[in-house]
Formats: sequence, C-alpha cells, structure tokens
Amino acid sequence: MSEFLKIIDLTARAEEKELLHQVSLEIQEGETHVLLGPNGAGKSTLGYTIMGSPEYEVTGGKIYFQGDDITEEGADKRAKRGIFLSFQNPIEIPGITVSNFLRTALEQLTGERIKLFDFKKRLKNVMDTLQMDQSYADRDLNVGFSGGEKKKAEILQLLMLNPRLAILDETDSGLDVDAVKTVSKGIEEFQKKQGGSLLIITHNAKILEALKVDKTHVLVDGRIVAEGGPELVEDVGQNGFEKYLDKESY
Amino acid sequence: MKEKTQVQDINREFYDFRYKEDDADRFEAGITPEIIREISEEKGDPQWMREFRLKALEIYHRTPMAANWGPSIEGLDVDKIVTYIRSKTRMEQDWEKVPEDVKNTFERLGIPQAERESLAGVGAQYDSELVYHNLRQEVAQSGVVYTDLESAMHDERYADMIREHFMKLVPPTDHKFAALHGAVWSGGSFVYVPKGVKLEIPLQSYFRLNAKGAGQFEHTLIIVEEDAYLHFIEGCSAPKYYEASLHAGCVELYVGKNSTLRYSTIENWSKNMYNLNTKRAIVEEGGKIEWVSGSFGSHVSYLYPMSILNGRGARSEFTGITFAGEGQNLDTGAKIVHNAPDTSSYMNTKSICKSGGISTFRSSILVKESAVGSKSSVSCESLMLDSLSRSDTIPAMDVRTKQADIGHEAKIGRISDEAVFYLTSRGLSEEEAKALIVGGFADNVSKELPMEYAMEMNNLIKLEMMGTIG
Amino acid sequence: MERIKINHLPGQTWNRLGMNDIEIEKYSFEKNLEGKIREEKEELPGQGIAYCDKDKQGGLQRGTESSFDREEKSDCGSALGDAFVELLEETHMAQVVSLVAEAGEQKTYRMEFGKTEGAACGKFDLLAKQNCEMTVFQYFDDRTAAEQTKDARSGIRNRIRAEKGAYIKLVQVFLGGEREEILNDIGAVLEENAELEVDQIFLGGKKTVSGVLAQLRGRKSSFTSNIAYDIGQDERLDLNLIAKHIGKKTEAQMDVKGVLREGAHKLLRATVDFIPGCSGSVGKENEEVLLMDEEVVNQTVPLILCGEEDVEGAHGASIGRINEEYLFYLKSRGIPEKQIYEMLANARIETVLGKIDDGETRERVMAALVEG
Repeated sequence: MSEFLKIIDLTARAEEKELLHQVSLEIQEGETHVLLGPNGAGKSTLGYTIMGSPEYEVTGGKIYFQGDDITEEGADKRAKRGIFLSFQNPIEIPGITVSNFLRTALEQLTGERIKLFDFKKRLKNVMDTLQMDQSYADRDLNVGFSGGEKKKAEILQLLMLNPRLAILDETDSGLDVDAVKTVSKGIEEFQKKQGGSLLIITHNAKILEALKVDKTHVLVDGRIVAEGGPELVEDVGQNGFEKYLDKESY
Repeated sequence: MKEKTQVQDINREFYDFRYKEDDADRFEAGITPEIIREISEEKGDPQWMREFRLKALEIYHRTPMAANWGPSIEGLDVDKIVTYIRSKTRMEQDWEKVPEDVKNTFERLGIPQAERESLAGVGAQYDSELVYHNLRQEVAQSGVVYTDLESAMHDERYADMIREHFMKLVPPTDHKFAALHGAVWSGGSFVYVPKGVKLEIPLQSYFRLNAKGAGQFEHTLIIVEEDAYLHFIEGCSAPKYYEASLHAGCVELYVGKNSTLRYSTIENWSKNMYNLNTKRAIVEEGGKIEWVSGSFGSHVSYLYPMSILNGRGARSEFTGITFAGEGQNLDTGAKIVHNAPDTSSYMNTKSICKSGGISTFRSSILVKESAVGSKSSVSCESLMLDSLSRSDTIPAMDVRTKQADIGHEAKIGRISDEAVFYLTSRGLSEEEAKALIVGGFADNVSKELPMEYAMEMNNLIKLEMMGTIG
Repeated sequence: MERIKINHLPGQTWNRLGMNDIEIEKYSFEKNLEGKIREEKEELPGQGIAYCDKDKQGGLQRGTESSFDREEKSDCGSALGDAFVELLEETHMAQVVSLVAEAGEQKTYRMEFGKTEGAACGKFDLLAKQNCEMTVFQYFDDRTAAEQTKDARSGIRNRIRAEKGAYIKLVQVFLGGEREEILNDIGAVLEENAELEVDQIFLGGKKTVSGVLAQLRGRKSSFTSNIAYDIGQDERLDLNLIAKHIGKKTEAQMDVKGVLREGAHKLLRATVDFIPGCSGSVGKENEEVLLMDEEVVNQTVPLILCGEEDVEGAHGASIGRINEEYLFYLKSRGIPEKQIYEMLANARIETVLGKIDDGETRERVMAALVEG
C-alpha cells in the first residue's frame, strides 16, 4: 500500500483560535516519526485532530488513512481503522475495570466475541512485559492511578488493542527513569513485534534511544518548519528550537 | 460639610393622601379597597392601574402564606402596614428616634451627618437630588430614560410600555407579598435603554430613592432593548432605617436580544425590617443577566432573584453573599429557569453566619424539555463562625432534557485554625485575622462591585466581624 | 380515596417544585409479605417466613413481638414519616421478623420476597448487639409472578439498632415488575463506634418510595450508603436519605448513582443534618445521574442543614450527558457512543455491586440486567 497516513494542508482551530496552519505530513506503514516543538506549538492539537477530537474544528485540509478520507469521521470509526492515541491525561472511568474495558474495546474493534481464557492469558503476558501488577486488571480504569501508572495503562491498551498507527502524546513526561525504560520497552515491542507505525510527540530523546526513527518533524506556531531524519532529534536536543523561532519572525 | 435644610415638599411624595378616619374598621381587615382607591386618587393613577391595584388587593386577601418553609414572619404586624400607608409623618421623624446601632454604623462608616439623616429616612439630602439631576442630564443624551415610575406612567411616551410590562414578570398571583406590592406600590425607578446603546456609567438608585424618600414598596422596571448594556446599582452599604418594618419591593428586568444587564445590590436594611422582595429578569436570545447581590441587613429576608432564560443562548450569572448576624434570619438564593436551547447559568454564592444568625441558601434550577444543550453550574459555600448560628443549604434541581450539563457543589465549614494561626503569627490579632479571612471569603462579590461599593462592603464585613454593631 | 403525604424533605422548600414530599393513596395492608429466609447457607425451618410467635431460632425471632422494647421501637425513627408508620401500625395482623446478632457474633441473613397480590407489609427489626457483625440481604423480586395484578402494594419497614461497636450491613435489591407501589422505610439508631451500611439497587418498579434515616447518636458512629438505580418508562423512584449527626465525630457518606431512561421520573432528597453539639463530624453526599434519553424527569434536592460550627459538609451533583473529553477518550478506543452510554449505565450498577461485594447479589442483579 503506497499511502498510509497522509495529511494535506490541515488547518484546525479551537474556539476562536487557529492552532494548526496548513500542516502536511505523511507516514508510511511501519515507519516511526517524531514530532518535536516548543510548548504550545500545536503538537498535541495535531495528535488529537488526527484522532478526531471534537474539541478541535478542522477548517481546511484533509486527513487520509489508507487512502480513505477520514477528516470528518468520529473517533470510534478512526479507532476501528487502527488509529490509536495515547492521552497525556487519561480520563478516569469509575465502575469499569481495566480488564472489562479492554475486552469491550477489543470486541468492538474486531467485531468478534473473545474467549475469556484467551483474553486473560494475553492480558497477563502484556502486563508482565510492562511490569504491571496483575491486580491492575481488576481496578477501575485509571481511577486513583498515579501519573506513571496512567501512562503504563495507556501503553497496555496500545499493546492489547494492537492498532496500525499509534500517536503517543508526551507518553514519557512525568515519568521516572525506570518507568521511562518500561514504557520504551512497550513501545519497542509495538514497533518491532507488532510492526506498528508510530507518531511520537515528545521532548525527551531518552525514549527514542531504543527505537529506529525514520523521520522527524518540527512544529512551531502550528506550522511544520523543518523536517529531517533522526539526526534532527539530536540537533534539537542540543540547540533547542531557537533557530526555528527566528526563522518565523523574519 | 454643612447641613442642608430639609426640602419641605418631599413630605408629600409618599402616601400623603387624605383618609377619612373611620375608627370602626381601623384595626379590622387590614388593607381595604377604600384605602387602595385613595392611593390611586392621590397618585392620579390611570384607570388600568386603579383596577390593577384593586385586583391585586383581592389576590392578597385570598392568598395564604406558605407555612411549611422559610423564616417565620409572625413578628410582622400587618396592621402596621395600614398605619404606615396612612401615615403622613414618615419623613418628619426625629433623628433622635433612629436606633443607636444604626447611628453607630454611620459613625464607623464615616458618613457625614447630613447624609446620615437622609439615609436614616429622617431628612432629604439636597446634594443627592443634585447629583441625581446631573446624572439624568448626562444619561438622557444617550437616549436612555431614567426616571421614577410614577411620572413615567403619566408620560404618554412610556405609558403604553409600562402598561405592557408592569407586573407581567412578577404577577400579583406569584405570592402574597407580590399581591400586596401590586396593591400598594409606590415610587421606584423606570429605565429604558434603546437599541444599541451601551451605557458606560452605572445608574445608581441610591441617589434617587433617598432623595424621594421612597423605598418601601418601590417598583423597579427596566427595559433593555437589543444590543445594549446597562449596569444598575441598587442600595448601598449604609443601613437604611424605616420605622415601619416591611419592605415588599419588586424588580422586573427585561433583557433584549444580545444585551447585557448587570444588576447590583448591596442591601443593609435596619435590623427590624422584614425584607420580602421579589426580583425577576427575562432574558432573550443571546442576552445576559448578571446579578451581584449582597445581603447584610434586615431582621428577616426572603430574596431569590429569578432569571428566565427565554431565548437561545441566553445566560445568567449570579454572584451573591449573605451575612447573618445576631437576630437575623436571612433566606436568600436564586432561581433559574432554562427555557430555550443552549442557555447557561452560573451561580456562585457565599454565606456567613455569626452570633446566632440564621442563613439559608435556597435555590431552584429548572431545565425544561426545550432547553436542549443547556449548562448550569452552581457552587455555594457557607462559613459558620460559631455554633450559636445556623446555616442551611436547600438547593433544588429539576432537569428534563438529556442534552444538558448540570453541576452542583456545596460546602460548609469553618475558618481553619491553621489560617488564623498563620495570620496571628504574623502579628494580627485573632479578630483581625478572622475579619481578613471572612473578607477574602466574600471576594466573589466584592470583586464584581465598583470599587467604592466593594470598599464599603469590606468595611461593613469588618464592622460585623469586630462585634461592635448590633 | 384518602391520600397521605410521605417522604418529607427535612428542610422544606417552594411547594410549587413538588419536591417537598410525595402523595400516595392511603390504604390498609391485608397481609404479611410472603418470602423465605436463610441464615448463612442453612435454610431455616419452615418454607417461607412462618411468623410464629416467640420462636427463637439461633437469633431469629418471628412473631408479633419485636425484640425491641417499646421505647426502642419508637426511637428508631422513620424516613417515610409518621403517616407511613401509622399506616403500618394500624395493621393489626402485621407481624415482625426480628433478627438479632448477639455480642461478638457474626451473622448473615438472606431474605427473598416474590410477588404478592393486594397490599402486604413486612416489618423487620434488626438488633446488632455490642461488637457484632450483621449482614442482611433483602431481595424483592417482582418479575417472577406469572400475572401482574394492578393493585399490588408492599410496605416494608426496617428498624435498626446498632449497639456499641456493632456493624450492620443491609443490602436491598428491588427488581421491580409492574407492582404498583413499594414503600420502603429504614430507620436506624447507632451507638458509639457503631457502623451502618445501607446498599440499595433499584431496577425498575412502577412506583418506589424509599427512605433511610440514620441517627448517628454515638460518638464516632458512621453511616455509609451506596445506591444505584436504573429506571425507565412510567417508572417512578422517590428517595429520601437522611444522615442525622448527633454525636461527636460522626461520619456519613452517601453516594447515589443512577440511570434514567425514557419516561422515567426520579426524585432524590439527600440530607446531611448537623445537630448542634456534633462537633468534629463529617457528612458528604454525592449524586451522578446519567440521562439516556430525552423525556425524563430528574429532580434532586441535596440538603445540608447545619447548626454546628466544627463540621465539614459537602455535596455534589452532576447530571446529564457524558462530557466530551470522556466520550472522546472512549471513542478513541473504538467504542461507539450508544455502547459507551450502555457501558456507563452498567458501570453505575457495577460500582455499587463492587461495594456490596457478594456473589449471590451480583448474580441476581446481573441476571435481571441481562433479561431487562
């Protein structure tokens, strides 16, 4: 398949403010892309818009996924197509356990009933990979989870739901070194074993160490201002975004 | 400041009518049709108003008081209302008769003697008249009408408008004291803001009401046309003293399409007053009503400004504070009716009670079937300063559409010992520390008021807190 | 027919709102509720509740005599109010099932009531002596009846006393058929360090009027209540929860979670009442309502009545649609909106089942949910 994710001239706004201006971006199947940018550049907005958040209104441009125009589609439809977004601040869902939730979501995604035994086995395996205590399966989703536990629970969902494209929004922020390691391991697993495509929104080069990065995009003030290979990550790590900011103002 | 002489004819402004004394029925039925007819005669009411008053009286007599809720008004001597209405001497009362606590408050608030007498209802303040007059000149240039309701009713330019709106929002059938108001109302303001006019200076009834000496059964009617803005301020923080102890005013506000009306009240009636006031606003499409309300005075209050959100996207904001001290039973709150799609309401109230005061927050939020997409958020907080006092929170919600977002939060508590300790450790006395904390607690209201009013309110809180009043 | 008003709001408000009380037809009970009772796993002798006099069976007494003395009886109070109590007391044939847990004992009772025609009543006196643990399950399942008669009515009253350090958990499950009316009243007195937990699940039922009055008399006594409901077309639920903080350092926590479907009408009164002298007490109430359809009536009056300075009281309510952020999160995992609503509706019941933490109760409720 030639086209996987293709974004053309995407313009989006929240309330009265335009946050993305004619952003274009392409990801091929199996690729890992990194999205960098200063705070408030619109990185999360781009992630949320690809997922179809009602918070942002697309006022121009198109999003294609595997050749289909998904610009107007609801989030659940996009999820069925295989798009996944890990949230910066996952919502707490009282009354629904992690295990029940994952099973419901999986059944919705695959359209098939899943045998409880198979499901439990798989869940256990993934939880082991992420060094999560088994008791989390029976806890209400995200309720009373610490910041780190919530991020792990997002990666758990990523590995269980097995999407084609995962957008990870600051999945590494607020984590300690060990947790970053575990989370990276989860992402690596997704990239290598499941062959998934990734769009990683991050500040932190650490999480990228074990991953093969294909392409890097720099977003400033809602515009893509630079694109390059993995070397760009290092460059930004050392020199920050200053030169891109300058470029903007002249 | 030198004292101004009293203006003699002011005495005639208020219920100064001839009445055939008839000892036989004097203490009987309370208010009779004869009395009402005489009021009409005296005021030269148009025919419709004569009929309206009599009809309202009929309703008053047949409407019972709700006995199962609210503070007791047993102490209210309804016959006194008759005496009051008959009285010609209200404005001639002696400064000496004004209770000490009211005088002391004037003293502490630093209000000059002449003005004190005016506020206490024992004199007329010439300066106020003048200020009011000047204000009217300025406002008139913008096309805004700001006058007293009685003369407006006789002005052919406004007569029909008044007839069309008067007591349509608050009909006499609403409750017993609305009916009483309909029968005996006198004085009050009429404001008309034409389409597109955004009045920058607030109109303050304080000047006018005091000059006229009215204020007991006054009727306020405000009509704001489309795309306009008005801020109206009623009352002031100095206590108002009236010998007769009933206040049954009525406020009707019509907010036009895409207009905003802000209605601020700081009320500090003397502590013998039964304040049974009715305030109501109807808001059309895209319009907004903003209530800012501070209740400090009176012996008993029933006060729940109501917003009817009648057009798509209409909004209401209510910010209120109630401070009930010794001997006070203040039942205050707000009512909201969401009657159109995408309407929103926001309510933020604080109440404080102290030295045996009773404060009740009472509210109702109705979200009708038609109010699809509406939002409402209510937050009320109460502060108990001692265990002699009482603070009740009685909010009701009735939601009839799925497409609505209704949130409600209430909290009750005390001043934290830790906060008092922190402040005293920095050198404040415990009293000062508490006054400061309570002042901060009240900042939801004070920051919505024009500065001079906010300062007065803060002084008032300080005085109440220091236990030197009442 | 004469009408009476019950389930009064402890602090009254505007009558025109129609939330101060509920009016019902006055009628007299003709018989006792028929049902079964079990202790732990063992079936107690006699099919169903025999209502025989003074028959003592391992802490279980049945008869017209309560294990409470006269004073204790009137002392428990009522959430539904005097008019309801009179209605029950006028019924001379009404018998009492007395459950007693002796000091230090652990007891679990299960009661099960099926369909009753006409007007039947059930009176239960629960006495938990010092430091005992008592758990009582009461299932009211109407759906089993082959034929639904129109005038079926049940009047249920639990009087509860928890002595020093005792723990009582009362679980009530109402699986409503088309029974006209259920009146369910709980009045409790708690002594020092006693704990009462009342968990209730209401699924359906034509008209259910239910109330709990917990009088927290003893120092450090506590009351928790977890309630869930899911009601629909022409079903009416009228609730009245009252936590009365009398002793020092008492605690109350009331959580109500509900689902309203098309044509349902619910009214919740929830009151935290701080009586002067109850210093150090904490009372909280919270309600979350999920409206599944248009055409619902959802009324809530959460009261805080306070005559004591040194207390902490709070209530919160959230009513209406699921917030956008929440919806988006779940949709982004592939679940369509309709399914999300159903899932969250079940989650509300599930949360309370989690608190009840009992296999049999879960099975009964789940079975009813699947059928319904």
